[in-house]
Amino acid sequence: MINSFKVMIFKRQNFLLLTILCFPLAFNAQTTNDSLSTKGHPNNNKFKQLKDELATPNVYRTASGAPGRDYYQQKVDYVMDIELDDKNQKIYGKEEITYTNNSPDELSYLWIQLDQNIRKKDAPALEKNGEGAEPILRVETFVNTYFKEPFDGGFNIEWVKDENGAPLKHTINMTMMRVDLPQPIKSGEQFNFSIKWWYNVNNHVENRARSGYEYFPKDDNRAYVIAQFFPRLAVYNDVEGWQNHQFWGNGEFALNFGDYTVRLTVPADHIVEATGQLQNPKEVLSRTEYKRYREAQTSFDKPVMIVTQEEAEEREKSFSEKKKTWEFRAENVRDFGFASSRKFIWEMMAVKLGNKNVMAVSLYPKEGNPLWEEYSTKAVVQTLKTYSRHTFDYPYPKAVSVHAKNQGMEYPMICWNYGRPDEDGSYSDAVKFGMISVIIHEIGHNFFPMIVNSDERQWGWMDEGLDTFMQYLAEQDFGKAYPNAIEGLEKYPSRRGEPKAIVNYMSGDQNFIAPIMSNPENVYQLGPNAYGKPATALNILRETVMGKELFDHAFKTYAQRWMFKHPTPADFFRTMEDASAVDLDWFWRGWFYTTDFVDIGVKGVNQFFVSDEPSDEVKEMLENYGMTIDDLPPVVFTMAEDNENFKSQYKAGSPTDHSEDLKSYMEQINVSTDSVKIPKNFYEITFEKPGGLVMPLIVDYTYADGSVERVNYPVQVWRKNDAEIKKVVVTDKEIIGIKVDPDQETADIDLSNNSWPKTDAMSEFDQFKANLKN
Amino acid sequence: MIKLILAPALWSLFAFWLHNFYVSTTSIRFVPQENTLQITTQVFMDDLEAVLRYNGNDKIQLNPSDEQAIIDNTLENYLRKNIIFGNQGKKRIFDFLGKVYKNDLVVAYMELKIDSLSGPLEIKNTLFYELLPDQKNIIHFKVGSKRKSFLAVSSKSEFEIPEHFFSTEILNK
Repeated sequence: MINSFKVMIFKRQNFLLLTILCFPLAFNAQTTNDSLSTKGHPNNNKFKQLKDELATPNVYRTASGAPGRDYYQQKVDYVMDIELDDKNQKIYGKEEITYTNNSPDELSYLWIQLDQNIRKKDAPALEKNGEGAEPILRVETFVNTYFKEPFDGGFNIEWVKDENGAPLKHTINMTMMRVDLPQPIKSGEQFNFSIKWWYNVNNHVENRARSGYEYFPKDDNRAYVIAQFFPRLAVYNDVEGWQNHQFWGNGEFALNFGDYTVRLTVPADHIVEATGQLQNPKEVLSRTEYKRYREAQTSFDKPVMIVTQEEAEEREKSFSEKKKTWEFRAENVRDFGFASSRKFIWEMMAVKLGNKNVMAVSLYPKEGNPLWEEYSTKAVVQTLKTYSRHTFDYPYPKAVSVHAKNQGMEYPMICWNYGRPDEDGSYSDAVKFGMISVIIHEIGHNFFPMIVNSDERQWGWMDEGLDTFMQYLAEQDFGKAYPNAIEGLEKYPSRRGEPKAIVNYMSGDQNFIAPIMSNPENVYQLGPNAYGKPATALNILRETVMGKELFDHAFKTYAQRWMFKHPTPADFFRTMEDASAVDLDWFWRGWFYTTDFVDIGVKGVNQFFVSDEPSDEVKEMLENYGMTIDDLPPVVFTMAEDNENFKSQYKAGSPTDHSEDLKSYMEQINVSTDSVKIPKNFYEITFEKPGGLVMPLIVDYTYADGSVERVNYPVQVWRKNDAEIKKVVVTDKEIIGIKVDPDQETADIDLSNNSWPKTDAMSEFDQFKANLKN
Repeated sequence: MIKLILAPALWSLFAFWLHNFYVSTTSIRFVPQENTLQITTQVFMDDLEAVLRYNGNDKIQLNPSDEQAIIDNTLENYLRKNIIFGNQGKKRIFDFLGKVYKNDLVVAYMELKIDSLSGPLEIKNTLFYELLPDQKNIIHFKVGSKRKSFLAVSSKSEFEIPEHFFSTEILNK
C-alpha cells in the first residue's frame, strides 16, 4: 500500500520514467496499439482455472478432493448358490440380496445390471458400429459370424421375489433391469429380495468375451473363468443418481461394495479359485492338498504346490459324476469372479504387507507351463509390493492369477491372464514379457478400480490410466528384483509409460483422437486413449512436473482418501493439487480435456552488449514522452549485434568499459571490484511453441569449455505468450549449443526444432542404413 | 440376412482388454535430394509373432538371440503383402533394408524410389487385419516441415498423398 501512495505523488515525468524503466514493453505497446477496433474474447488462457469443468464442491465431495462430511455409498450384500453344469455349459444361480440405502433419498425402484445380456441374440450392442463390412476377417471369425447361428446368451431370469416369497414387478431394458418396490426404501433402511436365473456359458476364446470357458479338445476338458455371472445392483450415488449408462461393451463396470457369501457347486474333481476366503478347505480338498494348503500360509520364500502338474494331468481323465460345493466369503468387495476346472495346477505363497500376510496364488492348466510355474506368482508378489508402497497395504487376504488363453481381465482378488508357450514348451520374449505385464496389470487392478472404486462405465482412464501408470513402476521394479528374467536387457521392456512411447499417438490424425476425458464407448483408439496417454501423463507429472516426492505423497493421499469409496475425476484432480500445493489446472486442462500435443523448440539466439549510447528505439521512446537522455537517472543501455547503431568495440573488454553509469555504480557498491565477477556474454534466446500444450521448459546450455548447464524454466513462462517467449542468459562463458527437452521427458512430438544451432542429427533411419554399410 | 448385418460388429464388441488395443506406426519421410521415401514401420513383437504364425509360420519365435535370416525373410514377405505403394494403379516396390528389436517393438526399415510420379501416391496398409480386425495402423507422412497423418483401420486402409506434396515448391520451404 505504501508503495502505491509513493507512486501517486510522483510528478508526471517521474511517473513516465518509472514506466519506461520498469515496463519498456508495455510502454511500446501503448504507443502503437489501436486495439479499439479488435474484438473481445473469453478467457482462452492455457492457465485458466479449471473450475468451470468441475462440479461445485458440496457436502458429499469437498473442494480439497476428499469425501465430504455427508459422503455416502450404498451397500449391497449377496448370498449366492451357484451351480456350474460342465456337461451342458450352463450356470444356474440363486441370490439373496440385502440392499442398504445409505443415501439421504427415498428409492422407489432399484436398477440391476444384467451384463450377460450383451450376449443375447438381439442385443442392440451388436449394432453399435457403423463402419460397414470388414474386407478381411480371420477364417474362424468369418465362419462363426456369417454361417453359424448367433450364440444364445444372456440371462434367463426365472423370478424376482421379496423376502416373503412374493413376486416383485420387474422390467428389463437391454442390459439393465428395474425392480419396482412395494414401498420406497427410506434413507437408512434395508431391503431384502432374491433372484433366480440361468444362462448358457460362452466359449471365451471364440468370441473373446471377458468371461466363459476354453475348450481343450485333446483331453475333452474345459477351463472356466466366470464373471458377470449374476445380476448385480447398479450404483446409486450423489453424482449420477442411478447409473443408467447401458453396457455396450467397452465401458466396463460401476459397482457397489458389499459382503459376499458364495457357494459354488461344481464337478467333484474340479479345482476352484474365487474372490474371497475359502471357508471349507477341509471338505473340498484331499488330505494331502489340505496339508499343503496349510503349509503355504506361512511359506514366504517360495510357492507351495497345492496341486502339481502330475496330479492335474491325472484329474483331467477322471470326469467325476459327483459334485462338490466350495464356499467363499469376501468382505467389502465390489464384485465376484471364479475359475473352475479339472485341469488346474495350483500354487500359492505368503507375502508380508504391513502387519498382514497376503496369499499370492497362481492357477493354470499344464498348457501354461513351463512359463507359468516360473513367473506367475513372482509377478503377483511384485505387484502387491510395488502398488502397496504407492497406495496402501493391500487389504484383501489373497490375489490370484489364473491363466486363460487371450484373456486379460480383472475382478476382486482374482484375474485372468494370457501368455501361453508353444506345445513343445518353448516361448519367445514377447510371450514371456506379455504374460508378466498382463499379470502385473490385472493384479494391479485390485487397487484401481476394485478398491479405489471409480466408475469405469463413465471414465475408463480412471482405472486403466492409473493402473497402467502403476504397472510401469511395478514392471521396472520386477526387472530389478528378477534380473535373470530380463537377461540381456538394461531394464524391463515396458510398453507404456515412457513419454516418447506416446508420441506416435499424440501426433496422429486429429480426426481420430479424443481427449482423455471421454466416455470409453466414444473414442477411436481406446488403448492409447484410456491406458497409454493418461499413464504417460502421470509419469510426466511425477518425474518432470511435480517431482517424485510431491507426486507420490499426493497420489497416495488420493488412493487412501478414496480407498473403498467411489471417486470422480474431479476428486483425483483436486487431491493431486491439494496435497502438493502445485497448481495443475493447466496440466489437467491440456492433457486431459484436449487433444493438444507438446512441441517446444528453440527459435533463435541473439547476443547483446552494453553500449555507451542508446539505440534508436530508446531514443524514439524518450522523444515520444518529450524527454532527453539527461532526464534519465543512471541507466545501462544494451544493443544487439544486428542493431544498426552497434559498434564493434562493444564486444571488446568488460561491460563496464562501455557504460560510465555502470562503472561508477560498480565502484560505489564494491569495496573491491574483484569481489563481483562481471560476466562477458549476454544472450537473448527465443523459444517457440508450435504445440498446443504448455510444459515446463527444460534447456541444456552447452558452453565453449564443454560444460553443460541444465535450466528448468517453470511452465508459467508461457502464461502471457502461448507461442513464443524470450529468456536472457548472462554468462562469462560463450554458449555454443542449446537443447530443449534433452532427455525427451515431455513427449515432444517434433525434435527437429529442439536444438541450436540446428543440427542435422542423423535420423534413426539414416543410422540404420549407415550401420548396414559397415 | 440378419446374421450378415451382425457380423462386422462382433469382433469390436468383445475386443476390449489390455492386450487387444493393437496399434502399429508407419512413418514415411520424403527425402527430396534422393527422391526416395524412407519408411519406418514399428509393430509390437507379440502381434507380429502372432500374425506370422497365423499365416503359416507355426513355429516362428521372434527371439533376438536366434538366427535372424529366416525371421527377416518372413517379415519382408509379410510387409510386402501388407504395405503397398502405388501410383496411378501401378505398384511401386520398396527395398527392404532390415529390422531391429527395440524393447517390445520390432522396427522395420524400407526405402522406395519415387521418380516419375504423376498424380497422388497411394498407400495401403493392411497389417494384421486378417488376424486382428480391431488393429489400428497409424501412418505419418513427413516432407520438410509438412506433415500428414492417417489412421488405417480394416474398413479403410487406403490413402493418397497428393502430388503437390512432392513438388519443388514445398521442398523449398
